[in-house]
Amino acid sequence: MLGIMLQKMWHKRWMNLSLLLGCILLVATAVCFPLYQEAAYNRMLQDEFNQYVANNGVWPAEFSSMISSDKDRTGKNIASMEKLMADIYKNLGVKEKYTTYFYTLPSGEIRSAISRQDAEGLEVRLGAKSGIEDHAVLINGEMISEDGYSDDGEIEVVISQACMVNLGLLVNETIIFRDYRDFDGNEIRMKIIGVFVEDDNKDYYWQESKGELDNVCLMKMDLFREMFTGDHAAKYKINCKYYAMFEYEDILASDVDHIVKWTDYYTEQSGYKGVLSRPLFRDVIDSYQNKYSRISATLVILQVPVLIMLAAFLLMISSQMYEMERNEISVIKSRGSSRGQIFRLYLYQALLLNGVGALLGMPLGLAMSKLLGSTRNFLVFDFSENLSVRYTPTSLIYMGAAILLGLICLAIPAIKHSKVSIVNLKQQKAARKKPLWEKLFVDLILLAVSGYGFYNFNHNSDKISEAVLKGESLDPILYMSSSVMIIGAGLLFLRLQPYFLQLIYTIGKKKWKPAAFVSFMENVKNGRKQQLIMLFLIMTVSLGMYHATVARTIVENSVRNAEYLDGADVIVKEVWTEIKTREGKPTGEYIEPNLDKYMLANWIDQYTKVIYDEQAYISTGGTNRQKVTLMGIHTKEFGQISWVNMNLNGEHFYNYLNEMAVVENGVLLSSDFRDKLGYKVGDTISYSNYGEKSVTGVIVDFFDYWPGYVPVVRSVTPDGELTSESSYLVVANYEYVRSKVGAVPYEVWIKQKEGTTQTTIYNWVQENDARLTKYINRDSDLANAENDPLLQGTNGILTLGFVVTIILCGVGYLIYWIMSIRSRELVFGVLRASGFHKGELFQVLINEQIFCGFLSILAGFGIGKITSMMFVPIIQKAYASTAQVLPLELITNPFDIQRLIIVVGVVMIICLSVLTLMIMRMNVAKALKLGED
Amino acid sequence: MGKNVIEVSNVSRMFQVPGGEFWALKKINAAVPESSFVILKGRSGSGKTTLMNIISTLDNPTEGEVRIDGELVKDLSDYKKEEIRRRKMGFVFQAVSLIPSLNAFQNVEFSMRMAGIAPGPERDKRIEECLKMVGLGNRMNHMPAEMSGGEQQRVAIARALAHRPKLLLADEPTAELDSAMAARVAQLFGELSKKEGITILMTTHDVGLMGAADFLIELENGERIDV
Repeated sequence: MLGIMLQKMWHKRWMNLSLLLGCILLVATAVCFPLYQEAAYNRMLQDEFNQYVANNGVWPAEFSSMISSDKDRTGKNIASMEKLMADIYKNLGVKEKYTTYFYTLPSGEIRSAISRQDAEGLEVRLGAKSGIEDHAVLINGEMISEDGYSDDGEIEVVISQACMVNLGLLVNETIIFRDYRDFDGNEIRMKIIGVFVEDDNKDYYWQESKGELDNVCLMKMDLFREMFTGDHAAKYKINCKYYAMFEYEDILASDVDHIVKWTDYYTEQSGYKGVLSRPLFRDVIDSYQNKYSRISATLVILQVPVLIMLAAFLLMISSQMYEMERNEISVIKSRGSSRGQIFRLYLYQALLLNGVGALLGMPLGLAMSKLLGSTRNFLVFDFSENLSVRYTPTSLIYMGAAILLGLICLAIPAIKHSKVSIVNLKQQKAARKKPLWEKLFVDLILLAVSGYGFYNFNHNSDKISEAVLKGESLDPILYMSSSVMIIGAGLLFLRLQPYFLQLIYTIGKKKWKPAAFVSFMENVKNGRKQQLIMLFLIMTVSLGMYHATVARTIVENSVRNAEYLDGADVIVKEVWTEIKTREGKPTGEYIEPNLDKYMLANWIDQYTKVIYDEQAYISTGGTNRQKVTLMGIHTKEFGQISWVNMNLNGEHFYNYLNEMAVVENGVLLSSDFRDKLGYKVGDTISYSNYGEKSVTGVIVDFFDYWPGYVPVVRSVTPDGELTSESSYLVVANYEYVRSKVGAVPYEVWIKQKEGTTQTTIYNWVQENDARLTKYINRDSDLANAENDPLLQGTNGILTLGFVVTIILCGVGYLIYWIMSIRSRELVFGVLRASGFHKGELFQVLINEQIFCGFLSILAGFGIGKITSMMFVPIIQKAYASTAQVLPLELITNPFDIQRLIIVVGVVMIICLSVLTLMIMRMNVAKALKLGED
Repeated sequence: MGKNVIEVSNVSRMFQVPGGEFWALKKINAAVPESSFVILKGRSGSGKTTLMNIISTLDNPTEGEVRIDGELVKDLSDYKKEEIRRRKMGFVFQAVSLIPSLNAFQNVEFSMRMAGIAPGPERDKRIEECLKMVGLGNRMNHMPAEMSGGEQQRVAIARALAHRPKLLLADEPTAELDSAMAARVAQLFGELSKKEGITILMTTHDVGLMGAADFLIELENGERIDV
């Protein structure tokens, strides 16, 4: 049996290779999604942690606890807490970074052994902090010795620099507690042998004891325990602090649930809930989980069409194979093989193909998920940043499911075919039927369903964006509607295509040249066999185009929005020192920072001063005030430096600047002044800045958008309600404002030279010792916008989906045509024998490619375009955020279409070349012989 | 008798086989005059299909030369040969060779398209005439799959002669037919060669059909043995 199978497979090796390719792709794609998702979540989690560290300068991965232990129970409490810290690592499954115990006695009055006056009445706390030896950087003296005693039997202690300065203690000085005594009742003598500094910028060991060490003398930990805990110890109340710090680099997305479960158990349910505070990393994980829930549903939904296409591909290929093997199967059957035997033959074949497919598909899946991680836009890759991907249990489950699906697709049709003997086969061949979907009007039904979805979502689009902003995940039906629309429209095209060809044929009925005639007749009679491959082509192209538009639109909108919100390449604001009177009262006047550094900076192309005051206000009659933002600009420079889509307001941006430039006291106002407060052009308005000095201006125009201006501030309240608040902006001439209120703090808006990097700017800031209170960098904000995990994941999956479907489509298309030519070899032989030229045979094939391939691709583009126009505006709401200010715009990039055409074109050319080769190699006499057996 | 439509002079055909050369045809000479019905006779492996392929310009002789309607075949390009095949020849093959996607009428029409005969009532009339000649006047709109083997073969004959070729080549056209049908086909060829003025060369090993032919060419082991 095995021999027969292998022989059979070798005989149809191209077919089987295609099937194998299908199996490989099926496993690879199925595995690639969970791998990628997992890796993306891991990266997202790490990003959250890294960002927290960068923003707060604090290591969030830690548990901390503070207890004060009664003097009677000291030993027991401390032992149980220390055990708890060790358990935490074990139960959370994390890797220990530092475990720190910090014990102190309550502060007590001391005297100096050298009886100096100024040490009288000082209070210190005696304590011990584990790990001090490794982390303290000594600036004077030395570290505590191993046994903790000095040569003359005093307790060695080290103190922080802050403590030294604070208390005025000296190195090598001995201090003695007035009240504390050891177990034997002797006085406690402490010798200060060293002074250290806390390297808290680099060493997170210090983060929990910041500012707490300025009256603490630290002694040897072991000695502390011996003296103050345990049975033979002096019984004092001890303040205990515990920090269990762990590494977060190793934490995977899949560990999060486990960690959260244990963390919440510890802080909410365990016996320690009173002493364990909610750890910082819970906030990090909360923020991660918010993002996770936002993107996970979306990513899954985006994969569905690709997986469906994969299954359809396998079904198509396997049914093609059975079509080819029908004769063989029916002969085997007529010779007495049982159905079971035939089925087993194909089952083994399917097992072999799927087994090898899985073996090769797994590494391919891994590679593909890495490719996904490098996606920046649709079909745009950036390999500079690598995603670390590893096999996960989930991916193995997906592999299993893919293999099962592959087996079903490959082996199940055998059951159907094993029923057919040679006699029914001949009968079947004669019959030609309309496909079921055409009879049931599936195409129109699908179109109606998607139309309903479109109508419904379009009418509730406000609700959709509100739901998304609140963090709810999007209705999957919305995504499905577009896929359903594409399938429905594709089927409708398939229904109409034969009539269209019939029409063309009828026009020239008797006059068609032989080649055209053969092609027409083939299509009219056998066109239905091509429907699956045509549907495949249509779906590939239209989904490709639709997905390109989705990807492009969400990324571009997000990038444009980020660009708009920043307003310029770089914006900095330095610290302005306010001039104070001799009594220390603020004068409202400031010392202007030196501007030379901007003039001299080699990375700055141009800069301008912009007064930006968010605390300004206007009076709206009586004592009523409206808070506004005041902006003072140099119109010309501002126009050259700021970033805004020039026609965003419906009129060129420069027109507004020009209008204001000619009126010295002119102001431009945001349109809410007109719409909500009732101002008109020509009215005067009086506005005030920080210094309570008011300025009067004449309104020259109103605008909707202005660089960096957010017209409506939307936010989600803790209760999940969406709130929005208008914000008002007054733009005035810089010189005019300055002449009225004096030198007030301004920002510097900068246009950078090409090639400026963040490092350049950072170094410049360092060199000039500039103290900045505000720093905006457009490049870094754009990079952040593009690196949003949701956008990246979407782009990755859409791109991968397209790549997979185009491969499937190419392979499927090739197989279909090879089979088609094979099955018509006899006819082609007859034609050639009757004097058909080779060129005419090509013409036949080319005609058929046009009817089948070209028309489908054209239809695909059309359908993709229509679907994009209908559904992308709804889909992109799923990606909007509270930060979205600009109106969302549907964006298609001609490059995307070109890329799509190139990819599709290359696949078609490969197909045509293979087919041409087949025709060239076809031997007429041999082809004719085929009919003789 | 008029001039010869087929002239075969000293034609030999050698095939390279493992272990040496195999001469399928050895110095064959033959001439077939216009309007004659000739049967090429011989057992399996006698070389008759090889000779048929050479006469139909699908194959080239190793030695010797062939003239079709006076033209020396070896001087012609592939394209010219194809032109001769589609305009001056008609073919009936052993296996059913109709184009499955065309009905009987369209199959016949197709050979006329190939021969470049302009569309019009003339052409349609000729198609009907040919189908009637082979006794299928009432089955013109049937698809090949809806007809018996004999009927399909008769459509093939109608197709082969519709464009009034000089030469009709039929390679074992009766192999899959019952003897009564085979005899009818042979008889039909005999009548057609006279009525239509077509030269017909048919291969067969069916001895019962020999009587219908004007004369026989008999091959054995690659040599002509009837002379």
